[in-house]
Amino acid sequence: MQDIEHDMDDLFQRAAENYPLNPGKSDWEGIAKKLNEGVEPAPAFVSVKKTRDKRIIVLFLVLTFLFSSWLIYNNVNLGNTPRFAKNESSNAAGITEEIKERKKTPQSNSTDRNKDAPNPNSSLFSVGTGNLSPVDINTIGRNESNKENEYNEDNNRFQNKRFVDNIFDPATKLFISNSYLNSINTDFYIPDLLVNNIDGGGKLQINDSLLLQTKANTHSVKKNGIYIGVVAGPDFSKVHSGSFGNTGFDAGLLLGFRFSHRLSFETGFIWNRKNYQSKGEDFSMSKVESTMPSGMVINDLQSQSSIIEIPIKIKYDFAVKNYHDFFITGGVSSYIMTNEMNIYHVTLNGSNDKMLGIYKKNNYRLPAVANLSIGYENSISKNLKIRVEPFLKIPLQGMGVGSLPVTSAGLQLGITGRLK
Amino acid sequence: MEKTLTIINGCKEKNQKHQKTLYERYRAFALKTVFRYIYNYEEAIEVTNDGFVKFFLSIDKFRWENDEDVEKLLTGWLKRIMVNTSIDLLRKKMLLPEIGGIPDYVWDIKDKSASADQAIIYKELMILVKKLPPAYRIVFNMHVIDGYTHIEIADQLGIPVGTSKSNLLRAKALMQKFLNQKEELTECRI
Repeated sequence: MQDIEHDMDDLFQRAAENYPLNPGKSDWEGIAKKLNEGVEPAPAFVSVKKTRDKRIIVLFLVLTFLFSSWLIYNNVNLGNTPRFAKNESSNAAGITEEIKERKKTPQSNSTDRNKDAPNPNSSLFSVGTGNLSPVDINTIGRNESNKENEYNEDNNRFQNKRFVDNIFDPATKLFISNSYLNSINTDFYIPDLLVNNIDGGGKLQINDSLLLQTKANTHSVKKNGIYIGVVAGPDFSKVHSGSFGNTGFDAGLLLGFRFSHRLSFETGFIWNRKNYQSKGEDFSMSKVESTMPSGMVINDLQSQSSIIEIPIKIKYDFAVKNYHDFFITGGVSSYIMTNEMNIYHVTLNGSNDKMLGIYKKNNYRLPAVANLSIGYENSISKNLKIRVEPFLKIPLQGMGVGSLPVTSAGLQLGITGRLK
Repeated sequence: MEKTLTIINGCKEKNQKHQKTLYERYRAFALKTVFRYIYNYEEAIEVTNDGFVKFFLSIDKFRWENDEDVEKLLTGWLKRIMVNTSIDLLRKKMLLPEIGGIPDYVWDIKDKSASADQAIIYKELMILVKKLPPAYRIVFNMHVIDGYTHIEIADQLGIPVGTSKSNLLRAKALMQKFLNQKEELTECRI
């Protein structure tokens, strides 16, 4: 008997040595990388995964920071001026040219007159400190040369607040208050609309309708084009009547294309970690029946999945204000499941037991869910926006080996920037 | 022999060329060891890689007296690291039994010769080992295949020696049951 046992042991030893296992592809690069880092791998796989998750989150935060910094840097330092930036340079040049032209004509010698004394017929008046002081229209068009009205190239605002406090046009008897200027835009400049109303004497003709039009023009103009961003947030997933699992997480890159004032197309790559629980009856055995012990009944299961989501959606801005807007999105998302771990609570041969199933083979679902969201966006600079977007994902197909209809809800926070 | 010593000394000096040579030479051996313990093939590959990182980071501690034994000692040492890394994973997974099939691409049976027939038998035996619940599988692998004593197993797993022995007996009983089932199935097919 002992001999037989010994023979069996020998047989297993030979089998262990010679069994035909595919050695797979070499992953020397991965090992060399870990060796260079000098970090000994955590003893346990689970903690390695936790560490990986933390690394992903840290990496995401770092990327978000770098991306924001890059966009802000572009906005501030590369001559991107807010709002009317592009018009301003041409406006200023245009005004200067126009005024130069007028100086050549006898009617337009208001500049000379202003050198000596204020002339209410050819000047705007600033009443910043309670006293009327003349402001020549010529100075508005040539800010760079006027120290009093020094123009800040960084943000195109007049640094001399006194100047923009109040403006009065004696010809039209119209007084533009500081609060009004603030309400339309604290940046003071001469847009095309107003420039076109400079009369032959260099006098600015302002009336209510003009100001209303100006105000309308100060609304942020949505420019068509491509924008990119990063989004992240918590994810809560559940299957039918099952309860929500632990809080999941998603993070990823967003790519958008605005093709009209209110409509945009958005897609991207979003990594999801979903945790959900399900009852046994929701779990389809068709894909895994052959691998399960016969007679085993799944009572319920807890799942943790890693998914790459590729959304395709249309965004509609339904309430567009100066610096912020509300939007809704609708579309579908495809899922590529990269990892699925199920803990089954089963009944096998009359006793309750726990079993583990790990599935690493990629599982594609095209499309997997309908994607609905409503959100709020706020411009923090000319090209940069932050957004808050609660979402709901309704299953169109079952997910994972058990084809579970997973519904998800959550909140995505993001930052987007328009590309030039 | 000379070459093995050169490679080991190169690895001690953190020479990546020698490290890579050693990795390529023993990769299949290490994966075969790990895959007996770890049910999932992809996980087994990850554990193998982690094991190699541990191996290279601690190779300074590797000592030998007789140059002729160095290869044997090296494989023994590598195997021990792979077994320990695998056990760490299984313990963290609370020794839960795993379900799911073993896909065909895991096996490397190319020809139809007599040795291929033997390979299939070996493969079937390994599948049976992997079907054992993790607690039994570990003890069976450690004692029957890797040659650990019950005291070493108890020490390694943090369990009483008696538990190690009883787990081995149960593992063998289960194995016998599996083999009988397989025999019955074969008879039915005939």
